[in-house]
Amino acid sequence: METTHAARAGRGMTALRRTSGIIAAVTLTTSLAACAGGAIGGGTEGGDDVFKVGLISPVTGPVVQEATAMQRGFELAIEKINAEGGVLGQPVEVVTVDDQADAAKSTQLAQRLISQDQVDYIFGTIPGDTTAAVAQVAESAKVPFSSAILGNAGVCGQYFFPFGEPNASLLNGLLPQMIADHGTKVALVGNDYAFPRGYFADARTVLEELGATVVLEEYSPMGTADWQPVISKIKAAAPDWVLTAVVGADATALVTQADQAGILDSMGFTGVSLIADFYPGLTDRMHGLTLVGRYSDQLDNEANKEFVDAFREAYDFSDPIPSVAANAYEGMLMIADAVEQAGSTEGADIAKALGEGEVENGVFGGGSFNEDRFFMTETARFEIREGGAYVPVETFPADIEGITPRCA
Amino acid sequence: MDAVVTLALSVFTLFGFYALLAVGMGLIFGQLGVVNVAHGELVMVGAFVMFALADVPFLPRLLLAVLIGLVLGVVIERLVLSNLYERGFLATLLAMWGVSIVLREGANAIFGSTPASVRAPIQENIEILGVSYPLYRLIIAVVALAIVAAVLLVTYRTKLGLVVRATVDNRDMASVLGIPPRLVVTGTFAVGAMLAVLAGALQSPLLGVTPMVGAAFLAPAFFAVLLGRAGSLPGAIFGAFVVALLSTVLRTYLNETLAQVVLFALLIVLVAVRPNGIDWRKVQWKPRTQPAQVAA
Repeated sequence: METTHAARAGRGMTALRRTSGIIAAVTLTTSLAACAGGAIGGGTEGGDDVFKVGLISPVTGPVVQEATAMQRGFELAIEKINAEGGVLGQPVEVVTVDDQADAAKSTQLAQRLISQDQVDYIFGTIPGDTTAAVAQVAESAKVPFSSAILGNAGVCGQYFFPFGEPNASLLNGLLPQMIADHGTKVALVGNDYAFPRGYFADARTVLEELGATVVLEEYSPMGTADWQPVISKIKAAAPDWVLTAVVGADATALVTQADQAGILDSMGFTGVSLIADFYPGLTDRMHGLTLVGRYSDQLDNEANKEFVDAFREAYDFSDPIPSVAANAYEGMLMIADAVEQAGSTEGADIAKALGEGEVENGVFGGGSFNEDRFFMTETARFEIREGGAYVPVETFPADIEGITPRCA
Repeated sequence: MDAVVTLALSVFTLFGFYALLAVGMGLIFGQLGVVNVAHGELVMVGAFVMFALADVPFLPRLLLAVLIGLVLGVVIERLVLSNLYERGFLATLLAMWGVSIVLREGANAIFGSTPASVRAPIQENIEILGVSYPLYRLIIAVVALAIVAAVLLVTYRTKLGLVVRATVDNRDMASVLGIPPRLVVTGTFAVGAMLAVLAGALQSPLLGVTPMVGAAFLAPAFFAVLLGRAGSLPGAIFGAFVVALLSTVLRTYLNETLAQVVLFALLIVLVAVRPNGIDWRKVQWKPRTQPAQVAA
C-alpha cells in the first residue's frame, strides 16, 4: 500500500507524542524488576554472632561516581577486617543492593535488608533524600545505619551515625579566608537538591556573622549542561568570589565554562565543585585554587598511607582519592571496632559503643561522634597542585558552629 | 545594553547546537518515521570520541567523529532497524531504546563514570558590542548552522535530496525508477546519526563528559521536532530556535528550577495548541472558493 510522506510523518508525530508514556511505563517495569532482584553477595543465614552488614550502593543512576568510590572504600575496609580475623571471631558478611539513588527504592531495600536478610547494620546510599528514607526505616527497626557522603544528612536518630563531613566543617575554615583574600560580596551557585540548599543555608549563617553579603544565590537542576545563563548572572552580580555546590558532570561543565568566560581569573572561586572527585575532568583548571575539607590522599599518616596504597593497587586508581571512599573505609573500621567493644551484634549495643567510641590514628588522624551525632575530625585547607595533589596548607580543629540540625 | 547582547549571543549559540540536534533527529524521524530515543547517546559518543582521541589535533578529530558517526549509523540501521520498519514505530522505538542503553553502558564500561573534559582549541574571548564572549562558542554555533543549511540545501535543492524524498514518499515507485531504497534509507539514518555525533563532538569542550551526558539533550531535540510541521526539516529548525529562545530568556530572568518548569510547560502547551506544528503561513478560517468548473 502506498503512503504519502505527509501521512507517514503525521502518524509519526502521533507516535512521537506517545513515546514519553511508553518510556515511562517500560522504565517503571525495569525499576520494579531491579528492586526485586538487586541483592548480591552474602546470602547465608547468619548465626547470632555473625556480624552482617547491608550495603546500599547506588552504582546505577545519577550518583554512580560517588557510589563507586564509597563501595570501594567500604570493600577495602571489609577486606582488612576479615583479614585481621573478622568481628567477634567470624568474617563479616555483606549483602549489597542498589537503590539507584531513588528514595522509594531505598525504603523498600532497607526494609528488605532488615526483615529478609536480617542484617545487623546498614551502610551507604548517597543523596540526602535516600539517606533520610533509610534512616527512618533503620530507626524504627532499631538497626544502626551510617552514611559516608559529605554534607549534613538533615536527619537525626539514636541509630543514625553519618560519617560524612558536616557542612560547617567544610565552611568554617574556608569562608573567613575567602573573605580576607577576595572580599565580602559572594555568589552561591549549586545544584538543586537537598545538599546544596543545606550547605548554602549554613554558609549564609556564617557569612552574615562575618559581615559578608550574598549577591546571588542560584540553583540549577541536576544534569544542566549549558551554564551560560548562570555565568551571565554571576557576571551581572559582580561578586568578589563564588562558592559552589555543583556536583558530578555539572561541576565539570560549570568550571570549564566559567574558565572560558574568564571567571576563574577575575574573581575567587571555591567550594564543593573543586573536590577531588571532579579533578580528573578539570585538571589544570583547578591548580592554585583552594578548598577546605577533611580528607586528601596527601595526609601524612601511617593509616592513610596504608589506605592509599591499598586503594591504588586494588582499583588501579591514579587520580585523587575521593573523601567518600575514605569516609566509608574509616567508618566501617570504626563500626567493626564498636561491635567488638559491644561484644554483641544487637543494634542498641552497637549504637552505644559507637557513640562512645573514638578513632585514634585513623586516615584522618583522630575522630569521634559528638553529642549531635556528627563525626568530627580535624579539617584542612587544601591547595590543589599539579597532578591532583590536594596539599594541606593549614589545619583547623573540629568545629561545629553553624551546624543544623542539632540532634542532642 | 550588555544584558541584551549577552542574551542574544546566548540564544544564538544554543540555537546552533539545538538546530544541529533537531535536524539530525528530524531527518531520522521525518524521513524514516523512527523515534530516535538514542539521539542523546549519539551526542555522548561524539563527546567521548573527542575525549578518547585527545592526542589527535582538533579538526582531524572532528573528521574522525564524523566518520565514526556514519559507521555507527550504518551499523545501527543495518543490524537493528532494517527488519523492524514494517513492525511499526513501537518496534523501532524500543530497538533504539535498547541501542541507547548499549551505548551508555558501553561508555560506562570503557570510560567509567568520572566526568571527563575536552580542551577547547580556542581559549580566547571576543569583544562584541562591549560584551566579552567565549569565541569557541560562537564559532561552533556558526559551524553548526552552516551544516544545518547544507543539509537543507541538499535535501530540498539537489537531485540527491529529491531521491531521498522520493524514496520516503513511495519506496516501490522509487525502486521502479532505479533508486536503491535500502541504500537511501541506510544513508539517511547514517547522516542523521552522524549529525548527532558531530553535535556532541563540537559541544564536548563545554561539557562534563560522562555516559549520562546525552540525557540532557533528548528533550530539547524532541520538542524542537514536535514544534515543527510534521516531516518538515525547516520546521524542526524553527522549533530549535523557539526552544533555545525560551530556554535562554527564562533561565536569564527566572531562577533555574522555575525556568525549567515554565519552559517545558510552555512547550507542552505549544504542542497541545498546535498539534500539527507551528506554521508561519497565514491561518485560513474559511475554505477557499473553488473556481467554477467549466464543462467540456
